[in-house]
Order: sequence, then structure tokens, then C-alpha cells
Amino acid sequence: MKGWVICGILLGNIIIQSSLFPFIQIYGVQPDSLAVLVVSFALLAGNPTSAIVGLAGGLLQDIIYGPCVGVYALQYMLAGYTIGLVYGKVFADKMMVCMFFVALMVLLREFLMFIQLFFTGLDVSIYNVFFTVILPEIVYTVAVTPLIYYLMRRLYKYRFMNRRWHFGN
Amino acid sequence: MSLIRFFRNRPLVIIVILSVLLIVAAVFTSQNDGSINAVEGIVGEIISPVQKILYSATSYVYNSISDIKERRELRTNYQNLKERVAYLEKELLRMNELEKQNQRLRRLLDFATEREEFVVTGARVTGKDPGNWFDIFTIDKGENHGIAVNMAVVTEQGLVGRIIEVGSNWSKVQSIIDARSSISGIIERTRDNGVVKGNNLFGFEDGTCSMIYLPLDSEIVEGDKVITSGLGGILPKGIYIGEVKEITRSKRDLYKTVIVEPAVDFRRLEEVLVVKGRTDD
Repeated sequence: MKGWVICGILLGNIIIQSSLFPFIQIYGVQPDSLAVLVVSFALLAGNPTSAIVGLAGGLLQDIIYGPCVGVYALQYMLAGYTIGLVYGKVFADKMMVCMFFVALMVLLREFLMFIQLFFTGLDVSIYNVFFTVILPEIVYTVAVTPLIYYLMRRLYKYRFMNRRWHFGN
Repeated sequence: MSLIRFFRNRPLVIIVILSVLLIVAAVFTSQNDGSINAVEGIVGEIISPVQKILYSATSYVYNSISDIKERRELRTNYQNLKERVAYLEKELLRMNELEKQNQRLRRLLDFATEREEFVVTGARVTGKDPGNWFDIFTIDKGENHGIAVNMAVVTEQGLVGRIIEVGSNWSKVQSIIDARSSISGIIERTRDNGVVKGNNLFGFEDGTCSMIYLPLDSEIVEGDKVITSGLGGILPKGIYIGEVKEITRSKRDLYKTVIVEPAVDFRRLEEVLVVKGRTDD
């Protein structure tokens, strides 16, 4: 049941991200709702759920829009796994905690993207990237975090969502 | 059993293995031949119809809000515009000349109606790359409608991009402003050939293109029209791309570079036409 719910959330997310978000862009930047979902799962369920959500959500983006399969999946999985390590060690009920980790995740993911593109030979300036893409995206994504995190916390009130997954099964 | 226990106690090992697999997958799939594989096809078939409805609905709301905003701005500027009427009347003669030029260009732009044999199909935009980095979007027509890789995508305004991947009922389009896009273009007035590359790379998302490798002695001026050259046989010749916005050249360069403002409004793409390079394709 938990797996199906997560699949539904990820499919719904990619549809909304690609259909609705282009119309709410501000200066060409749109929020990264998948990052908010991954952080929510990391704080509410920890690993491996957050790493799996990152991997599956990233793969979905790769398949539909990515220039190649694996780029987004790697970024979201690594970010999901890293933030999932703090599960149980922070107050997941505090909205500010989630917003902080969302900002951290977007920063981490965009730097991974920057590094990947840097190694593909594209000539880019880190200064420009930070102030024109990364920072606005962090602000915008953090702004939509309360709504998504609120809905995720309500979802986690259902017992089936609290069934633990483990690595290796 | 012991293998499962081994992995269960070492999540980091699983993450490292998955990371390596994803990097390998990225390297392999970055060199694909333009066809959409089975997984891409199935996922696309599921998502595409829902995307289409959502995109149409949000597009309608967005355009309505934009219209209201534009009307309010027009009212504010009305007084200023009134004062400029006298000046504009003096410009009337020049404008008539420009109108004639515009009509000539319009005939060029109406590629679809004048040269129907090139038009494969009309299509609706169903979704856009969710990231802020690239400019790829999907349309609701694919192989079943006669679309093939490398076909040009146009609107009545000009060239939008080219098909890079084709599914049975959907296709991926790479726009000309994408940093990885590179097409052969020609300055309509001077007949200088060059390569039109997209400028939408992160940090520089200004929706323009750069036309490079133009001869140093070319007499390009701002406002010159850029069209496709047809070289390479991928895109048809004569599709309007945009106009020269700025000419840049450093002393060391062996060629001229110009910034091209595309004619297409990439923020409000809804319907496009897919056209082929040659009638015998």
C-alpha cells in the first residue's frame, strides 16, 4: 500500500511539475517540488524510503525529460540518502527544520548538476549560476515547502505509511 | 540469505553501487540514437494525456491573467502614447515601408500554408522540462502521425526547434534556445552563413541564440533577419529564426558573432507545426 501511494505521489508530482509549474515561473525559475517530497520522506520516514523516493522520482524525470537516464536519479538519490541519515535526530514536526533541509537539498542537488555539467565541458560561471538560478530556486522551493510538508505530515498519520522499509529486502 | 544480510547491514554499499550504475546508465544513454525505449514509451503514454489536459487548463488561466495585466498597463501608458501620436505620424511613411517588408517576411513565415507538402502535422504542447536548465518540451504527436527525428518544429512566428526523440503518440522537441541546440542559419539580406546556437544555459537564461562563424567582412546590422539555410538537409531552407539583436566581436576572433532574438515566444507555446526537411523524406 505504502509503495503504491508513493508511486501515485511521484506520478502526480511529475505531471504537476511539467504542466502547471511552467506557468508559475518567476524569472525563469520554478520550485523543485520533488526536492520537497524527498526531504519530507527523509524527515518522516528516513532511509531507505527517502533514497528510494529520490531514486524513483529522479528516474521518472530522467525518463520523461532528461537528456539521459541517470542524471536526475543520481542527484535526488544521493540527496535523499544524505538527508535521510538525520531521521530521528531532528524535530520533524518543526516546519523550519524541513525548510532548512529543503534549502540544503536544492543547494546540494544544483551543485551536483553544476559539477556534472562542468565535466561535460560546458563553460559556466559559478557566480552567475548561484545568483541567477540556485538562490532563486532555493527561495522559491522553500516558499512552497510548508504546503507540501503539511500534506505529507497528514499522510503520515495513516498507519500504513509508518511501516518501515529496510535496505536489502 | 547471507548476501541479503550483507547488504542490509551496509546501506552505503548499496548507495555506492546504485550511484555507479546510474553514472554508467547516464554515459550509455547520453549517446542514444533518438528513439524512445520501451520504458520511456510506456511512461510517456500514461502521463501524456493527463499532461495535455492540465497544460491546456493552466495555459488558459495564465493567458487570461496576462491579458488583464496587459490591459491595465496599456491604460496607464495611454496618456504617454497620446503625446507620441504626432511623432508617430511623421514616421508613417517609414512604417509603410516597414509594413511591406513585414508582409514579405510574413510570406516567409507562413511556411505551412504556402508549402503544404512540407507540413507533417499540427501538434499541441503537452509539457515542459521541469528543470530550470534545459529547454526541452513534449508534444502530443509521434511516430503514428508521421513524425520522425530531426523534423523541424515551427509556429507561424518562426522556427521553434527540432524533434529529438519520437514515441508512438508523443515526441520530445529541443528548442533552438537550448544551449545544446546547433542549427545552420543564414542572414537573409547579406546571405552570410553561420551556425545558430542556443544561449539558454543556466545563469544566462535570456531566451536568445548566438549566430557564430560569420565572415569578418559581412555587413550585418542590427535588425537583420536570420533564416535557416537548409545546409545538412535536416531542416528546410527559409524558415524564419529571428533577427539580429546585437553584434559582438573581439579583436582576436576570426569570425563575427551576433546575438539573435528568436521570433517565437517560447514562454507561450501552445500549438506547433511539424515540418520535414525534404518532400521525398
